[in-house]
Amino acid sequence: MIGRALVFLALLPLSALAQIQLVQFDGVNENPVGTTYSVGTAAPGDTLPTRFRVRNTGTALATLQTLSLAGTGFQITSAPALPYIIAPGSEAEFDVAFSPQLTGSYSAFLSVNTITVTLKGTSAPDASLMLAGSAAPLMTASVVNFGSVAEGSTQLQAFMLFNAGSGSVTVNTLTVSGVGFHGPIGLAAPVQLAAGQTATFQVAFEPQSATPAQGILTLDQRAFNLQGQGIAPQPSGASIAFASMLFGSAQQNSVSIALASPSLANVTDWTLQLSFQPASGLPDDPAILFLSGMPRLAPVTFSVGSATATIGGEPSITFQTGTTAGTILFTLQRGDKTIVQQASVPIAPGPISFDTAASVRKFNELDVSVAGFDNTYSASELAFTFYDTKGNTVPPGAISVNASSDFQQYFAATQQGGMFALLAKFPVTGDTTQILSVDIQATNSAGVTTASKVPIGN
Amino acid sequence: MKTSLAALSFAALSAWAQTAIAPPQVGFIQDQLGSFRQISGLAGNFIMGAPAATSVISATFSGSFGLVKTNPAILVTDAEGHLVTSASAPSGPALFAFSANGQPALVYLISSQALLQWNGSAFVPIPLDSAAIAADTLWSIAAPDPDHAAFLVERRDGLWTVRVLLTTGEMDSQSALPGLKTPALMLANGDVVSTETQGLVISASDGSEVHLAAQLPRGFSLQQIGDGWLQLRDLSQHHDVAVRVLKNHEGLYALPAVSQ
Repeated sequence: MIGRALVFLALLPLSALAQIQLVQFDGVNENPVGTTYSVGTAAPGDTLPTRFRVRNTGTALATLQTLSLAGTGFQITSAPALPYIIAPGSEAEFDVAFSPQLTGSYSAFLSVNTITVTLKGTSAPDASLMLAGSAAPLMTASVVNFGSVAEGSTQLQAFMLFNAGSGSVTVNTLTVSGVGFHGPIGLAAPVQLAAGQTATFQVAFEPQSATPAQGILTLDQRAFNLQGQGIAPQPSGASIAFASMLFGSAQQNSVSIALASPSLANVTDWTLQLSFQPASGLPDDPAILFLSGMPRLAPVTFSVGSATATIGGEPSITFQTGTTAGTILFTLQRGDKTIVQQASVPIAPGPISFDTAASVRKFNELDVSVAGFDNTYSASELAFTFYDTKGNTVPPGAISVNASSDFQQYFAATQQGGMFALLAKFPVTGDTTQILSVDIQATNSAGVTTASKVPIGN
Repeated sequence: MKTSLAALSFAALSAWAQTAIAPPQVGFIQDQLGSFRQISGLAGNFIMGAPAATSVISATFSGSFGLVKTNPAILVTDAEGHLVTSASAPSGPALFAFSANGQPALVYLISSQALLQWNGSAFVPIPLDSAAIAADTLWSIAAPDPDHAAFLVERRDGLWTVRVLLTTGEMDSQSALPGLKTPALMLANGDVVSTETQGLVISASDGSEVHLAAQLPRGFSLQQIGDGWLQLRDLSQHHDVAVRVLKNHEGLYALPAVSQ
């Protein structure tokens, strides 16, 4: 590619030759660079970065072939690999750092192809600036990010001034500017620091809108960038409440969300997530879900001045507890996925529950049907005891069957949670009208359930 | 003769199940997407199944059979939602009635004011004296016995039951149902589910009543969705409710939403 470009360059007429220009780029504007350029002032131990651009102002490709710097206190910290082809109108960037170790005047020779510039810098005694808790001085023009802060809230950042020199220094200017940024708090210029002495102060970020914010911390001739992101004020003191605290299987319950104080903003990006952690060895239960909207995720919104949320557009949302033992977990999340609150609904293992139990008399046969659930999936023995018109047990008495394998196969083959419907048929010798009722008993790992004297219908 | 029981044996629970243990079935609902959709589960613990028919205008299910009205046809389904037969019908909604054992019995086509009787394999038109059932609103039909159709009609003076003799299509008798409000539905056993300020009320033919407290939606309809189950179909907010009318197990339960 480079070879082709060079051949192309050779074929161009003289008027189309490449032409490069060196400029300084401050992040917004390009500033001309003459034969000398002053990068500014830095305290001993500090670093002052300067970004340059090599711009191709010609109409043909240009090649950046030479980029060098000679002199104490200066160094090139980033640059493209050479040779570097610059298209017409385009540019290449490189950074120079001025890092004086002692006070005094510094200079260095910068060569860019045929352009030579004398860089100058001054090092005057001044305090180093550090973030509290950090031992590394901040570079001039470096960025201090306050993160995301809600409107109405304040994020404080502590700074420390440190005199690393052998003599005393005086900080004459210490200011904070920028909408939403306030300070310095706890310290005011002028600040005199003896050798090795420190002083601390804070800068506050109080966003006034849900937008990005920028500010400047000025320390004598040095400027440091302050950044923060204002976000809508987040409701606080959110709590999850249930309509009923009597938790169990096969229930419909509802959940609502309340705030400790009215919301200061319209908030529309929170969610309430439902998840289920089944008891050991048990599967998930498809019946555990919200009854409106998406099965296990509901949007949560707060309106200004309201201390209650709407969930899926309603003051509360109804859910089913299923028929599997375990724990139903509700997680309230902010839009940034921060978990605000969690609440769990324990579903304890229980004996088999009968929803309906019935029996029907047929010719030479009695049919017993049961619908219910076993939230442990461990149903085992079933027992049926029939009674005659006088209340006596019909021979042979209690009829038991171990249905464990039948239930295991059923639960493994279906995805209905612990729900089941069972039909047992009993051939009868004699007059079935003489049998009036039946006791139905079912056993699982949590206990025994009995439906007594279930009448036998026709 | 001495009565005794032989050994226990498991058998099919119903036409749905081939094994002794099966998922409990509620029936089929007409969901908010216009589908005739299977629903399984127990009171307060429902699981929606797959749709058996779409573009449904009216539907009901007895626990054994389904009756579905689409724009061009009446469909009869079995207990699993499989099509048993279909018949052409004019567009518009329909009212349905089952016999006491859950067999299809009657269909009333509202747009054409036609009454059809199921003869076991097809629908047969019944001559109907439309003046007999003249009303502001016709809410429900029932098949109280093989010889009669019962119409639940709302007139200016309230709710009435009008019995029509199927052989002639003429009114046989009528009786007022004082105090009952609409929407209302007559069940195959003669019970009437009607509306009151605080919810629903189930009025049995023996005069007993069961009140089910609920905050009712502004507009709704009632239809049978299974043996002992009705659907309260919210016509605006799509918050459907299952109404259990099984004696001593009466209750109201929210139905899960269905997704596209």
